[in-house]
Amino acid sequence: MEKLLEVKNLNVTFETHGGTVQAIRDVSFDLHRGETLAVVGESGSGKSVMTKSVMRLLADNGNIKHGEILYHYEDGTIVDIAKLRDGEMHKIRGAEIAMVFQDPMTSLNPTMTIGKQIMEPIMKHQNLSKKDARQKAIELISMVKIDRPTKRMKQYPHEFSGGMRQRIVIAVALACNPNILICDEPTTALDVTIQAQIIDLIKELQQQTKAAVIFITHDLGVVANIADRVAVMYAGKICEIGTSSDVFYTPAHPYTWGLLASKPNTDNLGEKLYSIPGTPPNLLDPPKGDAFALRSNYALELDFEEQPPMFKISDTHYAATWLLHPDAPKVEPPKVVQRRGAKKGVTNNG
Amino acid sequence: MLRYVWNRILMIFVTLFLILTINFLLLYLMPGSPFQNPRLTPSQRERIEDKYGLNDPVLVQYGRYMYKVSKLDFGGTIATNTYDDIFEEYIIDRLPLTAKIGGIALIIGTVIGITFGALAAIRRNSWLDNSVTVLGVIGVSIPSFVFAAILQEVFAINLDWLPLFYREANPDIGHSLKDQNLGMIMPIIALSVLPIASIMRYMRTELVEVFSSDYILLAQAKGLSKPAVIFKHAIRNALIPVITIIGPMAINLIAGSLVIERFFNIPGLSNSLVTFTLAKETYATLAINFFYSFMYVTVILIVDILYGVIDPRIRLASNSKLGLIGKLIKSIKRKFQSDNAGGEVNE
Ligand SMILES: Nc1ncnc2c1ncn2[C@@H]1O[C@H](COP(=O)(O)OP(=O)(O)OP(=O)(O)O)[C@@H](O)[C@H]1O
Ligand SMILES: [Mg+2]
Repeated sequence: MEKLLEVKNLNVTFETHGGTVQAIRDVSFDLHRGETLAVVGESGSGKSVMTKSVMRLLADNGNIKHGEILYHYEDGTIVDIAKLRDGEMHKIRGAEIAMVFQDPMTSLNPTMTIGKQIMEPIMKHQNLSKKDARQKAIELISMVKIDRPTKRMKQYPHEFSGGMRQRIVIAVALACNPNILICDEPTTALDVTIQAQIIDLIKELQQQTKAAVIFITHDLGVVANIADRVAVMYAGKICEIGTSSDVFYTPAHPYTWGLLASKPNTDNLGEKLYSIPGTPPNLLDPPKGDAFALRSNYALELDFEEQPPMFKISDTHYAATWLLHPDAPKVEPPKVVQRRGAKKGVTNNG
Repeated sequence: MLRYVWNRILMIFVTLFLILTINFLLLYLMPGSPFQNPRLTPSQRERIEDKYGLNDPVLVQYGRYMYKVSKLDFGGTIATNTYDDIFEEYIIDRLPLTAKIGGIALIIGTVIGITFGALAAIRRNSWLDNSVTVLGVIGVSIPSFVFAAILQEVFAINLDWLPLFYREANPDIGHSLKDQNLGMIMPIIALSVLPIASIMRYMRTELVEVFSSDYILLAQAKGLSKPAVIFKHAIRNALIPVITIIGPMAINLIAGSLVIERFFNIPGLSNSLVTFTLAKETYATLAINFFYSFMYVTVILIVDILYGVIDPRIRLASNSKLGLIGKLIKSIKRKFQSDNAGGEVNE
């Protein structure tokens, strides 16, 4: 598959009064054309910071300390977003990589018409006349399934419900046919029925536009529904990455086990839900070894001493835990997780 | 919108009525008499006061006064026995000077305040931002007459660049128009300190807040350049709340001018107000007071209307000719329709 984005050893820090927050620590992953990569993990694990780094939209006190974010243009040229000049970056944002944020109630400018807000990226990136841009904006509004698009153009965000505003934000994001669409918890702020509609819309539009999607969510059900691959983040690191079926049926990292066990599903029906004990580590001073070791029932001594590397489990599946070292003692994942794995043979995970 | 304006105008009448009533009572309670000539014996004074009805029960005086006001007769000065309309005598004559000095101070305050407040927010934590913060605190906490005194000391007494007091142009005694204009510089600066400082601080806070909002992030994510994000998205949204304080600011200027006009000996309206109040010229005081209050409420009305022009949320909420219930029903209907149409409502 054609590579679109390669993130290599990304480190992002924030300068604060309390010291330097190491929000992203040595993260690497690839993104391929047309695929959906879900990013899951606890609050504060660095999901938003990671995607904002890709857009270079970090807060003023944030820095990409080192690492590369290689973007592959369609013509084969490769640029390192981490080192791009601002002017070049403006050409990537909105045109090559676009973003949908969590809260549709606040992500549209309250004093600008919907039409103008959709036309903005079109006028900026595509050499269209105002009239053509208008036409395109109207098409985009109907594409995200909002009726009477011409009339909508003149309306303001406060005349739209939350779900409709998120549709508009999606229309803005897709205005210039980006190759990558980053969705940072696009449904968290919406109520359940509307969540499903927005996710279906994103799925459908992705198939139409062939964009790769990075989808951040807390909802493992959504992940199973849309993701081709899943990255599990913990304390600023990716601790496990693989295809959906890798991560759901043969998870390898104790944190992923905890995450799966703490989510209600048909495999743990009627049982008391598991919850991961303790709290995430302080990123001002992250632990030396595996950041999850402190909260893990499966931690080895080495986990407290040294950061485990990414072990390769299969061509698609990687995890960072010493349990995967050939010399490590064999441990059994929790029952719930095992039962899931056993089902893999029969259930075909889309 | 019309209905909204109409409601507001009704409110203005109520407000003005209350202001006149309360002020009338306060002035009534103030000791003293307009007839303060020390050569008058107490009985003479009483006779004169009786003649003008000043010893009648307060309700009678109040009723008499309000009746006249309802015919738009605000009375005149008592002691000088000119019962001419105070509006012609003083307001028309003296207002232009007060308005000119106050207006220029307000314009300077708004322009400088908005510009530097915005620059400080854009270059956050720079030396410019820090200076704006420090100067802003100084500007709002030190009263304008202190600045006036400092200005007089430095520019009039030490440097001798500007005249110490305002002098009306009068060729007969060698005062040119230039002298007059030079005389306005220091009062204007002294008066503009407060609006500059307050608007600057307010603008900075608002813009910083806007910069941290999600729609600015979305504007950046569209690939807009920094100036485009600032001018097309940020400034307008930050200006909305700032505009609302310009009205009250104008009123603060009236209060400021009460002191500043005396300080620089400016024959303006505020100066007269102080003179009349001290002389217990109830009618003249009330007339000027009424005029200032009228300005106040009008300014606030204009600001609110402007606010509606800038902020579509307010514009839409108020442009309906329906009553409150009608509006409610309509908005529920509209929401229901649009939700349905957007496929948001699951059946
Ligand atoms: N501007 C900032 N200054 C200091 N620290 C920051 C800043 N932005 C993010 N962080 C820190 O970076 C870490 C990762 O934050 P991030 O927002 O990426 O979490 P997240 O995984 O997206 O969480 P959530 O699920 O709650 O959205 C957190 O510890 C957060 O405190
Ligand atoms: Mg987040």
